[in-house]
Amino acid sequence: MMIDLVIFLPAIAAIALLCIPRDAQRALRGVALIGALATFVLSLGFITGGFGNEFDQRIPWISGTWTAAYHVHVGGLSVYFVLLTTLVSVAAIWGAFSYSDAGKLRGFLALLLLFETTLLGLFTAADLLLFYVYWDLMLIPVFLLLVGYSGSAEARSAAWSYLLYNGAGGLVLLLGVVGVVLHTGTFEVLGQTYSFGTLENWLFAAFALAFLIKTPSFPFHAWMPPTYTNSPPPLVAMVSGVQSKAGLFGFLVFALPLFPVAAHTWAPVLLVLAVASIVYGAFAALGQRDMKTLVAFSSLSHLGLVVLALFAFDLTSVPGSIVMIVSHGLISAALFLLLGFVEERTGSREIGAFGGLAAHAPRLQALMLVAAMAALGLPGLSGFAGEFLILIGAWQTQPVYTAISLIAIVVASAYVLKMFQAAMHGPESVPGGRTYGDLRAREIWILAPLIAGIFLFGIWPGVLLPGGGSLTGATPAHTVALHGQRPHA
Amino acid sequence: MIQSVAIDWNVIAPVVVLVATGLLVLVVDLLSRSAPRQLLYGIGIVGSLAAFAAMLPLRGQELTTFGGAFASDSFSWPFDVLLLLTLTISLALSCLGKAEDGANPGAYAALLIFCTIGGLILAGATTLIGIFLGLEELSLALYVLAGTGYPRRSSQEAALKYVLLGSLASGFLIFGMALLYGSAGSISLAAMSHAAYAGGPLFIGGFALFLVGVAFKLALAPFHLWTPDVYEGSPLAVTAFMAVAVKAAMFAVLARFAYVVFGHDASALVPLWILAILSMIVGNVGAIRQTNLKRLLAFSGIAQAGYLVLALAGVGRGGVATLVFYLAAYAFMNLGAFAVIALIGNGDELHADLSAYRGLAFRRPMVAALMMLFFLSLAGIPATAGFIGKVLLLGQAMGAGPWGVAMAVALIVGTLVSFYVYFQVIWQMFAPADAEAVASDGNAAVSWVAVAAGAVGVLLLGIVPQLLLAHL
Amino acid sequence: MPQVPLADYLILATVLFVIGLVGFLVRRNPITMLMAIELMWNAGNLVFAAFARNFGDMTGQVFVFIVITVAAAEAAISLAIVVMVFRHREDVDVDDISVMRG
Repeated sequence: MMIDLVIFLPAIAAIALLCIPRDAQRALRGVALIGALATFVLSLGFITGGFGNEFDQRIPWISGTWTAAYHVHVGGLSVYFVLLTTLVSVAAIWGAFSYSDAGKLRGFLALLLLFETTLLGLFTAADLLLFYVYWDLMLIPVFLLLVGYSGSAEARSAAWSYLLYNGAGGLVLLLGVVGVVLHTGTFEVLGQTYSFGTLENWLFAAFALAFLIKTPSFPFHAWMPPTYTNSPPPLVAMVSGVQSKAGLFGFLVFALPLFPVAAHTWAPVLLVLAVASIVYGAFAALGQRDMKTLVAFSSLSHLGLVVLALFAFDLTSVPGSIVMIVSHGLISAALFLLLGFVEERTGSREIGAFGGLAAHAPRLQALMLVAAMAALGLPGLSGFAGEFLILIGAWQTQPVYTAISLIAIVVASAYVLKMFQAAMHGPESVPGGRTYGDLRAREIWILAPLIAGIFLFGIWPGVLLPGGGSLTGATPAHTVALHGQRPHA
Repeated sequence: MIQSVAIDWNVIAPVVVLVATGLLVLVVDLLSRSAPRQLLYGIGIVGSLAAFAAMLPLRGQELTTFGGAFASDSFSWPFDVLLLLTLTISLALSCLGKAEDGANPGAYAALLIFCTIGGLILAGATTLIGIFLGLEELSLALYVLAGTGYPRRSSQEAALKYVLLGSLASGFLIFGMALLYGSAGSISLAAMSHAAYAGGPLFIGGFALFLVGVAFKLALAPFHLWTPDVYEGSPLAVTAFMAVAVKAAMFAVLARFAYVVFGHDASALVPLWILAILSMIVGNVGAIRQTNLKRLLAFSGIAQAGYLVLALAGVGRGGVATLVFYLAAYAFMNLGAFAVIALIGNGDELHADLSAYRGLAFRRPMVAALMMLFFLSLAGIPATAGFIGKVLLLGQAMGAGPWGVAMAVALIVGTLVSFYVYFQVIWQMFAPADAEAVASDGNAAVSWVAVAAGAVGVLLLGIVPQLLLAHL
Repeated sequence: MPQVPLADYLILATVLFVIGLVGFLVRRNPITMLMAIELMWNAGNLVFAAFARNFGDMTGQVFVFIVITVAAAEAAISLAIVVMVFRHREDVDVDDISVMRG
């Protein structure tokens, strides 16, 4: 029950919002924030053990020529994704309070909360059909937020590239999912091993394509820059901070354990795509003038590193990828929210259009500094922990690709510093000479948990490694993926 | 010597109830010219529900009458329910203030009811005569209904195009049936399976022409050309009926034909698979440019007919259950969408235009959310009936050899194209509201009932599909 | 009197069917088109009758009667529709029936 409550509490809050009059702004904000906070607090139960053993729940759902169950599960791996979701959602929903169009605030908050439910559902799904349900359902709140609540024609057209790219990935995944069930007879495939024969390569390809589009990875990233750039900050914080992890979660929990042999067959292709994402993302970020687009491309680069880690099949790099996933979620959510605060103050996010904010906004500068340094991988912050584990791990098995990826780490310093300096340092200038203030208390509180997480996981990444750094706590299926063969073969 | 044929009245009770209802409507209309049309449609709705009650005891039984020419069995029962549901909703939508009925409500209601009787006959027919009679009863009434918006030129055109192309299709059907009769020596479908087994030019030619006729009525590409115009021109409630009832009845025929005649070997059905693939492409691509929702749903219907064929792929186990499930999903989402169109414009034709939906999400959020639900279901987004239906269809097709896989891929590609189509409507609803928005303030209770029926069906089948699947 | 072989009936019926189909496709007057359709229906009737005689089976002939009956109803309805269209405009040519795009 508790697990259902965590998943559906945001949706319940969203429905509650729709029962409140549109102009009762205080009530709307209160309900939305309480919903998100309560979800976060409840989800902490998964690590403190507050739920006893109620981490698994199964209700039969469909039975016929094949069966499916409403089976939700929070395990050693998914707990990180769940906590990342609930934490980032609190920041995003709180951040949405400054949303400009008061008449649309209700819909905006409700859709963000529904988005959170679809993400939580995805990360807790232990049934392939249920996973797919949330995978596709996720498109709807994002599409609606882009179309109806972003306030620009660019966002409305970006919605199409978001929908059609991710929809295409979803439909290919559907072919793969149905292909799987024709062999297994059930959608509850976790923890089982199956022999798909020659079909395995095709099925893995279908899964991988969908996951790479969602992450996204080069060359399937065309939807990302317009979507990230034109989304309101709370939305992009959730899309980049959490939704981009859905594909990586899919690899870790479904694709690698189900298709261990095909994963190794396809690994060379995926490694090339990963390195291409890492390098291309870094250089593309360097060339951007729009700060949001810059951070978007840096996401491409950083998540490419995760794909590299997964398909290097190394005992250090794979756990490192989990650290990187959480770390990137915190950093990109913080950065996009910060850029939102900057844009509120300056009316611009163009590099060179404004500068010297440090003079009047020291707190903004300080928080931006932490997020930026974490993004470029400063030791002591979470970005470094993830990158370091991935690189030393991947070096063992894929030295060439790892060496090429190192270029991106250097470039990352260049683009992050370029953005930071343009915004904060130099002579103070703001378009139209508008006046602005430093971060307000609310804005600091929004960012505080994210920044705290960046510090925490930078200093003590072991808290994120399954089994505290060793692989003893990793799921059996996961180990299968690492060794590339079936245990009973 | 003429044998007397015993008639089992229980088997044809639903048909008898509907015939009586149709006649009653005509008589009431005749006796009291001033009777409000809502009364006539109300009688129709009551009759339709009574026919449904008459069907309840038939569930799960395998009965035949008229010497085996008419059956009430697991094939026909679910299709009959869908037909009666469609009749009820169409009659309800006809009650709306601005609904068109040719200023002759008695004839209009009776024709809708007779149409449904044709559908019931089609679903239960086990011989070529039954198929022909049911089809013609359905079609002849629909030709007239298409023209009941007749002061409107597009309605006149719809009637003329429909009657010309529909009769042409019947010509193919009759010639094909004659050849099938010649190949089998009998008009019963059961006898035809031997002819199918033996093959031969008579059977193949006959089946090909029969298939052309059926494809015409089902609006499978490339025999779909009449569909957009007829859907656009017909009055709204008639279009809704046409979209659902004709498909349900024709798929009942096609399924029975496939399972009885080709049960042993589906390889002769390859032309049908090709038609399905063409329909999925033509329907979805054709829908892209449409700005009239009735036309859009016509193209969508062409594509959905193609999807439905996947249920028959390989004539496999579970095929009929899949077909019925997707047809039920199709019925709920289409009737729901038509009901929303009728709701906001109080039954007028103006609100079939896409521009009427601009900014609707901010003016009438509840209505927009329901419209969105139906279009998401058409697109096959999870938590709706359309999604579970597509999973079932894909499962059926992908296990049925190379042609099945080809159809599955066509469904996936078609669905992607259809995202652009269906989300276009949602995109419009979330457009910034402009001052010149068409007033959309219809709020009639009867249309809310129809919308709610569609929404409940779409959500229930999407979230707890076992409710229906357990009974198929 | 020598019996006409079945094949001849089938050939004749096919010729009628094709004439009807071509007539439907080339003529633009709806009444002529309906006549062409009647030809196609009756080609089917001929095949039914020929097979019925060949098999010595009544069913085919019954089918013919049913088709003829339905054809009468169909003709009544289609002519009524043509008249309705005609009353609202001067001329009836299907190429002018084009308010809608299809």
